[in-house]
Amino acid sequence: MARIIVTTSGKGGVGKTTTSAAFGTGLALRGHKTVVIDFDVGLRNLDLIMGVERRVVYDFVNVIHGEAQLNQALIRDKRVDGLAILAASQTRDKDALNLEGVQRVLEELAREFDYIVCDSPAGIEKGAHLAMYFADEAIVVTNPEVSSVRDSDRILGLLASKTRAAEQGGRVREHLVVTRYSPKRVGKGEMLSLDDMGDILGIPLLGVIPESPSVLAASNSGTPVILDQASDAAQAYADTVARFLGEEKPLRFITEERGLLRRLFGARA
Amino acid sequence: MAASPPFRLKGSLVTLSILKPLSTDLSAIDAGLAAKVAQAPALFDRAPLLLDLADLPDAPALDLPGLRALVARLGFVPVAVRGGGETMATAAAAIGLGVLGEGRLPPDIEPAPPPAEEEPPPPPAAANDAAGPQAAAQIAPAPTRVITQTVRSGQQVYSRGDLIVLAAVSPGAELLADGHIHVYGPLRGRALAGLRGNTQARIYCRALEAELIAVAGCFQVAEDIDPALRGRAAQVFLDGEDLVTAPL
Repeated sequence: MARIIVTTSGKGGVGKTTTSAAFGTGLALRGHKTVVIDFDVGLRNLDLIMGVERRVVYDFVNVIHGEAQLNQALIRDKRVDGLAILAASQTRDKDALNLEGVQRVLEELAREFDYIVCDSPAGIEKGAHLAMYFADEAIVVTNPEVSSVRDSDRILGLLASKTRAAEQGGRVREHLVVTRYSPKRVGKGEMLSLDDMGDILGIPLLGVIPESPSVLAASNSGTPVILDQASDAAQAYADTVARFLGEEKPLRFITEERGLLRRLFGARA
Repeated sequence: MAASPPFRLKGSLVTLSILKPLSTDLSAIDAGLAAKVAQAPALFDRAPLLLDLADLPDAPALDLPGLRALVARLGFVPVAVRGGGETMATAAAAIGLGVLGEGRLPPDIEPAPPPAEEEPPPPPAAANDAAGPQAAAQIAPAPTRVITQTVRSGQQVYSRGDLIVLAAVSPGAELLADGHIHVYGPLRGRALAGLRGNTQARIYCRALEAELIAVAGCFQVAEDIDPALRGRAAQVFLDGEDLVTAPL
């Protein structure tokens, strides 16, 4: 029985697609058959981030409208076994999605895959609503910044009331992933700390991904950042996947790094 | 020798019940509304009512005098009309009803989680009129609503009696109650107590970080709240016509 995970945030540009790509790839690397679906109809970019933009023939909307079979639209990743992508349509918009169609596709995918990662668009409109509706788990991606926290809080409210799980008296399991974290800026008071964020959002922290140039390099080269193993962001995502699968991993990249000379001669805190 | 002024004219923030006809079929509206009123006669008796025609397709076809008589028969006091265009505005004025401009409509009240307790979302309650304490006495006592989960940004929680929140209230969330509001956690959103004009209602919270507080229509925004109380345990109440905040 597949677990359906939605990556959502409310706020745009915080790292949902980066996280969907990295997290989905991470699950597949750990041996779980995973499919990542782009719900951002009309503004698709999951295919770019995953490096499959030159192989998209049919998309999610085609399948919903019966214009193509699911196996014609699914793109198998060439680097990682057991990983597949279902791209969004670029020429249509969110009105092309409907609840019954999404449910049908998810049920069909559930027969083959262990995990279905739904990459939500920003906002709280139809695309975001459909991406979260059938979810069992939610990864709420948040930047350490006030408007992102406010929007994530709104999303948490919607996860608790406007999902199938909530309507049936259950709940979606919520996980916080903080992205673009910079311990230096937190130290200077320019960014919200993990404690501040936890105080307002009150959901378990699954991972902290540091601000890293490797993320931009990865998206420009169409490689999910988790595959760039030397980078801090990649390792943070790998830790996040491990924690999701039940392992204990201490948080890394959350304190300022001090070079040797600074440690010897720098002022004491 | 200057005489003291015989009246004061003030602006105020009030909430009203709103009837939104979705069809021009008056007998259907009559039957449905009569059933609703029968469920809680005391709640709607003499309640001032705004007729909002914004969602009515073909509003000019509505028999406005007929609708007005219908709601009056059921015990409402129709006050004004909103929406429905120029024709309806003229028709309203012709029968002595006020005309309100297109305001920002507040979203429909959603019940806060857990959804287990299925309460039909009640309309925002009546205006703040001069007979405040009397009106409060006539209302039948209503149950206290207890919320145990964080009230998230964008959620509204309404209680016809008192409201108790045993968790945090996020910025952008709204707590509404005819009675008192207690927040045993940080209050970071809005809290409006005494919605139906109960001037004795109070707001109590563990940490006052609210965006807006109000009792019986008198409100203060965050900027105007006493800075000494920010983040502290506080109570909010009416002292005559002034909204007062004090440490708990």
